[in-house]
Amino acid sequence: MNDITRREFIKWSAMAAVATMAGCSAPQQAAPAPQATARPTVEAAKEWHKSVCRFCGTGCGVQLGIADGKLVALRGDPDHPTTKGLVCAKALFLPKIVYSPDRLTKPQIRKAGKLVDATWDEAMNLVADKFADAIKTAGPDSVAYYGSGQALAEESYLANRLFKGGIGTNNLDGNPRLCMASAVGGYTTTYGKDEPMGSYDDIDHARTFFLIGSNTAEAHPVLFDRILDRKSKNANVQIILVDPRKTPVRRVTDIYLDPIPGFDLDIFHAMAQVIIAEKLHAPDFITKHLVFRKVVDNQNVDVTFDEYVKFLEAFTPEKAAEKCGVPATKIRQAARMFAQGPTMSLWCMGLNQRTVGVWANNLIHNLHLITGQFGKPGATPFSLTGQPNACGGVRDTGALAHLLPYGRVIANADHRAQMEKLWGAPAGKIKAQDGLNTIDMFKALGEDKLKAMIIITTNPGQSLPNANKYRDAMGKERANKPFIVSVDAYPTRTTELADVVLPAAMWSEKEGVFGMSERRYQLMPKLISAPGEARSDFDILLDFAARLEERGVVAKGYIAGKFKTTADVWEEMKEASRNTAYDFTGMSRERMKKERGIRWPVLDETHPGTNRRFVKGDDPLLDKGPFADANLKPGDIKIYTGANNKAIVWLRPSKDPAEPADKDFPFVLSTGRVLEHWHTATMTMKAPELRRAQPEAYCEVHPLDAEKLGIKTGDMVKLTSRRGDVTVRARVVDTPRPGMVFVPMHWYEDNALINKVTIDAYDPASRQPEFKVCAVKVEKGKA
Amino acid sequence: MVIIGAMVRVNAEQHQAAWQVLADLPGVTPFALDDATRLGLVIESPSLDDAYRLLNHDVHDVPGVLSAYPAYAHFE
Repeated sequence: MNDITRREFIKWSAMAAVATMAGCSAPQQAAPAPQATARPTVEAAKEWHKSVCRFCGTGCGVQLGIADGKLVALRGDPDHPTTKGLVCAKALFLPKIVYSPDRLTKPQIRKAGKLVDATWDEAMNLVADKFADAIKTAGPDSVAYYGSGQALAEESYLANRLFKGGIGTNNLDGNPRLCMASAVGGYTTTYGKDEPMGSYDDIDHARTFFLIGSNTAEAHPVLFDRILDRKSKNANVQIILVDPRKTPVRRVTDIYLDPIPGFDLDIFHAMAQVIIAEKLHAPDFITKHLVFRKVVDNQNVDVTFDEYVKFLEAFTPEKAAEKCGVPATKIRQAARMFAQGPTMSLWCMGLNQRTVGVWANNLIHNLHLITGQFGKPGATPFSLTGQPNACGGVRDTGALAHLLPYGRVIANADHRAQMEKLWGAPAGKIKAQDGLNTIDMFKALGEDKLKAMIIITTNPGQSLPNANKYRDAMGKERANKPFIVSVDAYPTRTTELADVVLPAAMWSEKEGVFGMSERRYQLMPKLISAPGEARSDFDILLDFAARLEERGVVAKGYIAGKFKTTADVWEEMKEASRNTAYDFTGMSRERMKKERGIRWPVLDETHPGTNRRFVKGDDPLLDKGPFADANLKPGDIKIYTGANNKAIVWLRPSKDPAEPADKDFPFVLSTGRVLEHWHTATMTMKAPELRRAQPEAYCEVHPLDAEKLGIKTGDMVKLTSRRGDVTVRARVVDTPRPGMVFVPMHWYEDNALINKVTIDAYDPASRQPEFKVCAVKVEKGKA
Repeated sequence: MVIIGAMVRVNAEQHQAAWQVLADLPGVTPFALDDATRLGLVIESPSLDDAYRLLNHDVHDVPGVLSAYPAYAHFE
């Protein structure tokens, strides 16, 4: 170092990084600037590459520092168009997580009850033999695939292709069923197709933010900052929060509605009632773009706007207040603020993980539609996602039991025929009936109706509700116990139940696409090597397919020889999207290597990507292709995915949760996240600092309840439901509503695995379980 | 040695007061950004544990601080 110390240089680098992220040219009060030649060796040795964070669905752009082939640093990518250099604290630990000594490095086979090391050939032959035997003796529907919103898009697409078009079973589902299936149901029932029409850019234009069941501050902190940024620069920006738990979002909220958990539907109807009664609705938008519909005797029946208004009479704010426990005055205030707009709604698991999840989603869409808060800057409904690739990887590729790629569904014969043709599968190979959804799949496993299952990049041994039941289904020894394969980077509560464990490469150890919440597809480059013998899920699936072909249960050449890399699969995926509402044929691999993600639809190489769907001038599908309409003017809206180009306002009745509190189980349990950990903490617990920051599970108890129960902070409390119990430490805080307790979902130790307590009742429309509401009793426990 | 650069979002009305409290935290150096709702921090600490605690607990607990985001981390 010439003129400054190395420490000063690093401090300067830190300041410069913050200033760049903040959009400043240089720190305005900083340490001495280094001389141009003064670059420490450690910095000069690093290469920086653009990539994408591995955690939530925000899709933060990151830059990865590589030295000697090793990942040594991570920083936010200031050139990323939507996250602009911000990352949350979890991301900084990704280098440590990748190099955890716990990584799985060799295949393992269970022998005499114990997992022992094996060769890849030995393990893959066993897997292929077991699957082939099951398919030959019990038919294609005796096997299943359980995937993940953390697998690459190409991996989920390939699995979908293999199981539905190759093996001939639709028993392919994934963990997005647990987190966002209700959002999918909401979009598809309201607009005809899935995925948001708006984007993160709308945050910069909204005047009202309507946050529902979303702890944005801790679960999506980078987006939360963008909301704060908008609010801090605009005095008229207001935030409405609907959440029975006072999360950190509450600190910046203007109107706070805290309904009894599971009883919020009436609030949304009541807001609609106020909006129409006070003539704050948008008659022109309603006439042009909407139909009103209800279900009678399982049949959809269209009704008039006047019938909708009459339906809403049962949901005045006063009536809603009685049911939801939220003052009528606040509901009125929220309704008026919503209608003023531009309004952006953002929601997450609090709305989705419910037995009325689809209906709840519909009612949020209703509010946007009747007020015309749609298709204009800052005016949009927008569901947030919890995994980095649940949208692009699973929803869009159709890797769920009822879907086919890019908006196609199993139930539609034309859609099945299109995919059979593209995949080169014989006509009729894709079954006409939906496969088993997640809960039914694991139920079938417990009933030994499934003979073999492969689980990739997910941890159902911890993440399924009513976990005792499904852990037994996977692992309890019995005569006809199904054969379980778990593919993972780490040992988990699922690998411990598996018959074969395959070590997986993760994140920057492989190349592929992540598609995040705002329809942006981003390419992650392979930058480092996987440890030991670990292989990517993609390579494992290719190998698996080839061995099934050799055993005669998949047609020869159906997959083997067709694809060598994820880039090969990407070409077919683009073709599958052609002329659909998802069309991304303009996203060449070369282009994706250069750009920081592109939002579909994008029809050619020169199109910059779509900020707002359904809007002439923004959405290229209104200019070219099957949805084009030359009669529209710029700014005109056409909801071309809807029936007759219209969206549907649904008249959904009020409905209680599956298991409200009662005399025997008088508290409502809700589960969720903390800032430091992510999902089943398979990764974040591998960073000792994150583990030490939140070392053990806890239960939030309201002070009024704690006093009645004689519980103090630090006491152990036992939570018991009709399904199981846990004992964790109490935190007496006024965060949850009285009568509600909250436990984070991350801890995997037996005494803290909260999903032993949660309920597996699911939404009949989305099949998403009700993690957010179940009845428990709370007692002082023993340490 | 751990050095973290972070952006902190603050209430504009409490910007100055928050700055003072942050400057008194051991190992924390605030620096100005371009508006009253944000400021930058450099955190120096002997371990990542300490840096993490400072960023996610001590800094978060300062009145007026709404959120904090790391932008740069160097640990060796």
